[in-house]
Amino acid sequence: MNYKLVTRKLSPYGYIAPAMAIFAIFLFFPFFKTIYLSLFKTNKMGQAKLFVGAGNYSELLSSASFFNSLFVTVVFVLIVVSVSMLLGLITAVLCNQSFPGIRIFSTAYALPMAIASSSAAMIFKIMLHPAIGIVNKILGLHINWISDPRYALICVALLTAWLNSGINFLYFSAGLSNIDEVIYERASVDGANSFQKFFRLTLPGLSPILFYTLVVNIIQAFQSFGQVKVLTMGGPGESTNLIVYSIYRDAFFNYRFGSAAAQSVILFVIIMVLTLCMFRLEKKGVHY
Amino acid sequence: MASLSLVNVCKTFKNGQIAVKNFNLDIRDQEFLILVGPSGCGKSTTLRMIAGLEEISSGELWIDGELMNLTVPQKRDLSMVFQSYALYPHLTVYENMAFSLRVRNVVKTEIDQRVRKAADVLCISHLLVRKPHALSGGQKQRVAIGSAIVREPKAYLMDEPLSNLDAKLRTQMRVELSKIHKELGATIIYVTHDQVEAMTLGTRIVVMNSGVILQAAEPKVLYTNPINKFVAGFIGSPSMNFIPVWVERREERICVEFSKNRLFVNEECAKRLMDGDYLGRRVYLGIRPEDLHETGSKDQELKLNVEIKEVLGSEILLHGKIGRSPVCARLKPDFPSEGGKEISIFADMSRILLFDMETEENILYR
Repeated sequence: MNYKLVTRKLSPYGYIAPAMAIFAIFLFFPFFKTIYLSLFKTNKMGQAKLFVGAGNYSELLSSASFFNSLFVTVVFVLIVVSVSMLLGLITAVLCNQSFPGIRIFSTAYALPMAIASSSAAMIFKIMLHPAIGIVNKILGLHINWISDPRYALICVALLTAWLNSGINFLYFSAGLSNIDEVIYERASVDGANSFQKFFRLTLPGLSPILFYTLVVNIIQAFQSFGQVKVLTMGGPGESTNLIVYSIYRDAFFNYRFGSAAAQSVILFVIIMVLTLCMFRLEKKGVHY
Repeated sequence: MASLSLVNVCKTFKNGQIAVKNFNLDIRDQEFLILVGPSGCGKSTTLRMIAGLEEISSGELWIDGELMNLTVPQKRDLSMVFQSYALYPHLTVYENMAFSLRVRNVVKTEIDQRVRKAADVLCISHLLVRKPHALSGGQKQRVAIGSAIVREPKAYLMDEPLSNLDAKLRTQMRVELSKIHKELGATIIYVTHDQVEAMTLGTRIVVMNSGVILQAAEPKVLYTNPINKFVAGFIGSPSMNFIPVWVERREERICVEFSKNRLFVNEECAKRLMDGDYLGRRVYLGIRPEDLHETGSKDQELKLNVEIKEVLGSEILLHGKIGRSPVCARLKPDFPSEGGKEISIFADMSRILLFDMETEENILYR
C-alpha cells in the first residue's frame, strides 16, 4: 500500500524527468555557468581563475566599445524589427486576395525563412560587391556598401529584415485568415474606404499576432549573429559590432570569457526587461 | 427613405452558375419588402447585389432614380444587417454602432446623440460598454440593428437577421422589427426562408425559386391566391396539402374524386375547370390544414387515417393519409382522435385550390 502510494506520487516526476534533463543540460547549466563565469577572470581555456565580483560589469559599463555595441544593437534591432514586420505585413495583406498565381507569390514571400542566414549573407556579399555587385549596377553607383561605416549596419539590418520577413509573412497570413470576411462587407456598406478598413479593422484584428511577432522579432534581432559574421565581421571599425558578435569576439578571439559572460548576462537582462514591458503594454493595445 | 427599381437583373457566377434570372421589381418608399424562398433560390444574392457586395452581371439597379450598377457600396447610402450580425469584435457596442458615422467624419456630439437614441429604442443602453463576445444572441442582433439605424440610410437591407435566434426570441424580435419599421418609416428589404417571418413582417412578399420571382404580392393575397403549387406550398405553416384528384361530372355537378372520396366543387370552380378543359383529367387539389374541419355536410367529407397526433395546446395537428396522399389537419384540441383510427373530416370547399398537373399553375388564380 505504502509502496503504491509512493509510486503514484513519484510517477509524474518520472514523466517530466527526461525533458527536465535536456533543459538542465542545454539551458539551465549554461545559463547558471554564464552567470558564474561573469563574476570571474578566466584563463584561455575558459576556466574561472580569479573571482572579481562585479568587476567585469564595472569594466563593461566604463567601456566606450561596449556602449557602442549597445547603441549599434539598438539601431540594428529598430531597423530589423520595423522593416521585417512591415515587409511581412504588406506581403501578407497583398496575398490575402484570390487571384491567379497567388501561390507563387505566397511561396516567394515565405521563402526567406527557409534560407540559412549565412548563405543569404554570402549571396548579399556578392550582390553588394563594389565592382561586380548587381546593386551598384542597377543603381549606377560606386558605393562600397559593406566597407563603408555609413552603410554597413543598414546593409546587415536589411538583410536580416528580409530573412525574418518570411516567417512574419506566415504569421500575418494566418492572422488575416482569422479575421471574418463579413466584417469587411459590413464596413463597405457602412461607408469605410480601404484605408479605414485597414486601420480600423485589419490592424486591430491582427493585434494579437502583431504583438507575438513583435516580441519574437525583437528577441531574434538581438540574437542575430550569422549574417554579421559572414558579411562584416563586426566592421568596418566597430560599426556593425552587435552585442552578440562582441560576445563572440571577446570569448573566442580575445579569450576574455568573463567579460563575454557579463555581456551575455546584460543582454539577457535587456531582453527580459523589454519583454516584460511589452507584456505590460499588451493589455492596452491588443484585442483578443 | 428611398424607392428602388431592379430591371432585368441577372447574376451569373464565374463557374457559370446562374443565381438570379431577369429579376424585375419596383420597391416603393417605406415598404417592408420580404424576399422569401428556399435555400439557394437567389434571395441573398439579390440583396447583396442591391448592397453592392456582388456585381450585377446584367440589368439595372436604380435607387431614387439614380443608376447604381457601378456605384461602390460605400456610396449607395444603404445599411445592412447580416445573418451573422457582423459585429466588429474588437469594438464596444457603442463603437460598433458609431462606426458608420465615424468613418463619415460626423461630429462627435451628433454621433453620441444618435447612438444613445438608437440604443434607447432597442433597449441596449446598458450594454454600450460591452464587447460583442460578452453579448447574447438576441443582444448581438439588437446591436446589429442599432448599428444599421443610427445612420438613417436610404434603405435597410436585412439578410436573415433572426435565423440564429431561438424560437421565443425570434417571435419577440419580429414584433420589435415591425415597431421599428413603423417608427422609422423606413424602406426595408428583408431576406428570409422562414415564411412565418415573411407573413408577419412584410407589407409585400416576393417568393423566389431557382433565381426567378414566382409571385410578388401582399401576404394575404399570397396566402389566399397563390400563383402556383410552389407558392401555395411555401406559404402557410403547416404547408398546404396536395392531393392528386380526378375531375369528374357526377349528378350533373362537377366534382373531384380520389380514393373513394368525392368532393363537389362550387360554381366558379366548376366553370374554371370546364373552361380549362379539365373534365376527365387529373389535377392537384390543394387544401390548407386549417381549412379541414371537424363538422360539415356529406359533400365535404373525407376519410382520414390518422397516424400521428400533435398537441399544440390551443389546437391539434392530425397527420395521416387520405388514400395514399399524406394530409395534415389542424383541428380543435377537444376533437376525439387517436393514431391508427379512421375519422371523418370536412373540407371547406370555398377555400380549396386546384393546380394543373403539368404546369402546376393555380387553375383558380384570380
